[in-house]
Amino acid sequence: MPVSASAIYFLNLRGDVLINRLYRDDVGGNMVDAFRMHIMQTKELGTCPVRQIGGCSFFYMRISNVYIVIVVSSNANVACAFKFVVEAVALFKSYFGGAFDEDAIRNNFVLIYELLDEIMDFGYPQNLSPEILKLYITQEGVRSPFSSKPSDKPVPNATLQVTGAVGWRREGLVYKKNEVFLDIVESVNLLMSSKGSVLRCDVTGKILMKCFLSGMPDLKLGLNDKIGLEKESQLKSRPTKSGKTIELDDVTFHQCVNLTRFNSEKTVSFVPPDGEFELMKYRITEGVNLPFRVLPTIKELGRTRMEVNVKVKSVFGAKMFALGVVIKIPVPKQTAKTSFQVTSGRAKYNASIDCLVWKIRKFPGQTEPTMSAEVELISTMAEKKSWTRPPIQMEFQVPMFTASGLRVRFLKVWEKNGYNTVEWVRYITKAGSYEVRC
Amino acid sequence: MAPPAQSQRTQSPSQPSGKGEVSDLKTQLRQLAGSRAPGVDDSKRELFKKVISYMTIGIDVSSVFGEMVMCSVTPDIVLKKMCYLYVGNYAKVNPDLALLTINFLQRDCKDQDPMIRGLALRSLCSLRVANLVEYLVGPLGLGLKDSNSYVRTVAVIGVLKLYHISASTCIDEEFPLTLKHLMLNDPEAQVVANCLTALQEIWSAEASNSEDASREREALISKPVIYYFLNRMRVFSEWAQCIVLELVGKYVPSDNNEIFDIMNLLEDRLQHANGAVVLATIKVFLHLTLSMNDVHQQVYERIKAPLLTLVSSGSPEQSYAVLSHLHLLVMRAPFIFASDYKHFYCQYNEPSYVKKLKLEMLTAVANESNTYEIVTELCEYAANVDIPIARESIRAVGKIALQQYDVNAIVDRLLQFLEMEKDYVTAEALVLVKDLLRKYPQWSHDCIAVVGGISSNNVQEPKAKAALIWMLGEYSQEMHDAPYILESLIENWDDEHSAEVRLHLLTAVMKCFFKRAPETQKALGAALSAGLADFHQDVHDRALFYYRLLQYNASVAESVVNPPKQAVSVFADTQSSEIKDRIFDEFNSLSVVYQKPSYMFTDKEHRGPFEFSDELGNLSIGAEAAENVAPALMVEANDKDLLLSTSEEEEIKGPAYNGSAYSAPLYDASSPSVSSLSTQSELAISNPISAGKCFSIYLCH
Repeated sequence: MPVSASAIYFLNLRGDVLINRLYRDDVGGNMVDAFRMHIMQTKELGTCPVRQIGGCSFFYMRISNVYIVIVVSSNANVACAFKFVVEAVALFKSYFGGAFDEDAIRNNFVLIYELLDEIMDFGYPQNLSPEILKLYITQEGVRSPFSSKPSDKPVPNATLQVTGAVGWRREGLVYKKNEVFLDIVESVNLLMSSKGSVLRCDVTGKILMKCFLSGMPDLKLGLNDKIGLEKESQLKSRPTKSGKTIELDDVTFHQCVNLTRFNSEKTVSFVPPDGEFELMKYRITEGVNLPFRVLPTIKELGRTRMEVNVKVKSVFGAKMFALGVVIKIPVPKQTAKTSFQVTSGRAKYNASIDCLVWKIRKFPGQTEPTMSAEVELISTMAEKKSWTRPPIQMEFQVPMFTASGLRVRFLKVWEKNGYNTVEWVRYITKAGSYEVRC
Repeated sequence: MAPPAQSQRTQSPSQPSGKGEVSDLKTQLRQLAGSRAPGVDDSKRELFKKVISYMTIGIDVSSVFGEMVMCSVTPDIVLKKMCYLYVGNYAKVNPDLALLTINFLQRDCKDQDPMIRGLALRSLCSLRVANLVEYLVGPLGLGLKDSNSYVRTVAVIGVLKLYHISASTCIDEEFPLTLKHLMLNDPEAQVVANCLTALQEIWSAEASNSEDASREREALISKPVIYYFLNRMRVFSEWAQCIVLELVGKYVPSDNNEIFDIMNLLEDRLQHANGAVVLATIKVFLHLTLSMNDVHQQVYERIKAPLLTLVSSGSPEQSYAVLSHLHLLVMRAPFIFASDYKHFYCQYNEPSYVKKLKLEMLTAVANESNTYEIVTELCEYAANVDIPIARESIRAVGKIALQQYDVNAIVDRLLQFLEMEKDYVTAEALVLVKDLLRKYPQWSHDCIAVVGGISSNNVQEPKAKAALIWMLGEYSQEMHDAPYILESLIENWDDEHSAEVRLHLLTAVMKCFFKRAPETQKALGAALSAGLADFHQDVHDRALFYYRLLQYNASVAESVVNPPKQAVSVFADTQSSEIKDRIFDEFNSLSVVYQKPSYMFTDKEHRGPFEFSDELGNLSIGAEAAENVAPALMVEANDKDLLLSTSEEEEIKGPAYNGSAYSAPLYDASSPSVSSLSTQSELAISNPISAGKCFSIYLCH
């Protein structure tokens, strides 16, 4: 049987224990020492997140300045263990209201112990849904100090829901104003060769939802994806409307989505959890609209000089604009002096990452600013080793633009009380790993 | 399990010794114990927090056990929890004190608040003290029948805990049968799921002892039970689904229709947001269809997209776990993933453990249609700043060349590597060129021209040096200055630290001698005398052997050292298909990540010399031992790499790590006194080109 964890430790970067929770007796008490000695204090750190030491396996993850280490002695289910850690951290964050780091852990360690007790028993994950846990683990983070009255007695029927089927939503919610916020967040990954051909390109997107709806609403979401539209036109025996349809390579859904119905009817229908959650994730590799084209020319003039010219074209609508555009152009370590000319934004040399960093705060569509830089290098003895050019990297956010072309066609809300809802939809495309070789 | 003595040792100097603080705490707790003043719970909380934080950093606070128990009489649930945590941590080492807690825990088990009942029961079961088992049975029995589902979920896992403390009590009280009943009848999904986990663990452990248990274990994967779970799949939490899917994976359907039914039912699970559920479903699909070849292929096609999605989402650690599984599948059916090769391109910022797996997959999926693109991409990585990855990618190019696709273009690329003038690139490329030549002797002309241009001074790594020397010996006819290069290498004999290089030098100079005797004679003499004086047993033996062979008959010697060779057609695969199948059987577990079946890392006898123990002292000894083994491993790995350059380092380490007895003489080799026959034969085999043959003749003589 694949256990997920025999023990779980939270360590800071020095290796001090912040939290330890032993779930099973099959691992010894000094596992932290083993981890410190054989992983943290060696070069092994960061070479592989799964390591075997003696008879035990260590899975570890670094989250901000904390290591979370899971120890098992059997042939455990690794994917499950990592997913557990990720979910647990998300849960802690929702309790602390924000950052998860060493200080947050120190300030809330009693709460973490409480939660660790509930989310895993004897090495098997139990209930990690913040919605339900918040019903009966009521001790709030440091934000409100302990109240003098024992007010945190559990809600009488809180535990009833702990094990129930619709575990993600509690009954009897009432909102004055019923609102739904949809955020379509896409990140574009690109790898372009120095000759300008696309080596690899894909979009991973997610639909984030924030629901403030009363009662037990039933929601239905329609997208402009090909399969969904075809199925719909089949059912309604009506030809598909013209317009862009997109093909999703793969979709995954939040547990609230009725997967059976999706498979038969291709509609996304669900009873949403209250508050914020990730409704679905998708991946697209075909027909991606790249928001930016980068055209670099880098000339090495002799041993001590370089000329860098970079032109960036924005290929989205002229009325739109991108925010926080950063272009990082790597230069050799021995860079001594740089001078820039830019038609837009600001550029400077950042020695700590060996890059020319060109920032453009607001970047309108259909424009093509350029940057040209002269780089002077210190001549070194190690001339022979030619400089290997790392790729140019780019960061950006383009609001109201989706690289995949995905659009929300409708979001319907049914509730037995028949109230009106207000729906808000936003789109944003961000850079994932946007790399151009030069 | 945290003995006080040890926990004190773990303190870092910056932490307080805790003695004074602990006794302070003790008095403060005692004052609060009886108090009923308003606000007393707040000060208790502060004190409890202190105690727990001391406990966490490893200070022994077991001395306040009594006071903690006294203070635990409170309606404050947070206080109770802290107290439970404390008790759970120290009960095991203080069984006598634990007895004190039984009373209040048992009382809490009957509290009217289900929350407190559940918490108390969980803590009671977590005491892990064998002689308190009798107090457990009653509350557990009540817990299983509790009207509240939360208490029942806790009680079910409690049974499993009881089983681990005292298996006989658990069985005698017939708890497993109660669980079975609950599993099939309880309305709450989490209770059912926990019953399943508990029963699986209990009956698997009992199966070896009793017929009944193994029958019960079989019953769990019987049709009615499996269908019961399959039909309720949707009500389970994502984690429980993993457990149910694991169970379904063990079920053997009676006919193909049933297989399809199950697959249709589970297909939507591939869309689940939880990667663990997706992987568990994939396992079910793969195992169900093993007997149906074409469907099995379709399954691969079907699971491709979800797997690729999982790889590209989530943290690097998660994607590593998934990628390991993808790796396994790619290795089993490379042709299915051939068109997806672009997904295995590395991103610049990815951690090296992800890149390494991707490189291996790129190598595996290379075929006629995509080799050009893949090799072009791999060449990009060769210039990478991350040196281990650069090395890996060069090796990958070589492996693809050995797979026989479009060798022409690849050889050109490899030769370009040699001209890149980076030490590690040259080193890796040399080793590859050597392997290529063994497989495609027809390329010797092009390669030799380039290899001849490399100065042996620029090659420092033993493996690369050995490869260069091998080529010098093998192609001494074509390389004009081969005898002189060898001669200069022999002049520096004493500076050559690697025995492997010296062995190759001996053989190469012999080969060269038979082709160009007049130019090599002097060098041969020098090599043989240096070899005879060598402190390394194997070098010494080989020199002596060559010397005697030459004395006996030069033409026989030639036929031994330089026989006509056949090109190697296929390099050996290091991992047997049986082992690969076992790993496949253990899909969705650690085996896949380690790339070895579970018995190799969970069974003690397979784990090898590095034994983990509870004592910190032993631990450091263990570490030393591991360090000692390391050089021996390296020598051995090098040797084997020469033989099987297609092999992966990991797999070589496996057996070597296990056979501590065998590696011992190797790293002792600096003292020439010991030389067992076994080491000799091992080494002879590991240098197949000439020594292997020599040795067999040597034995005949």
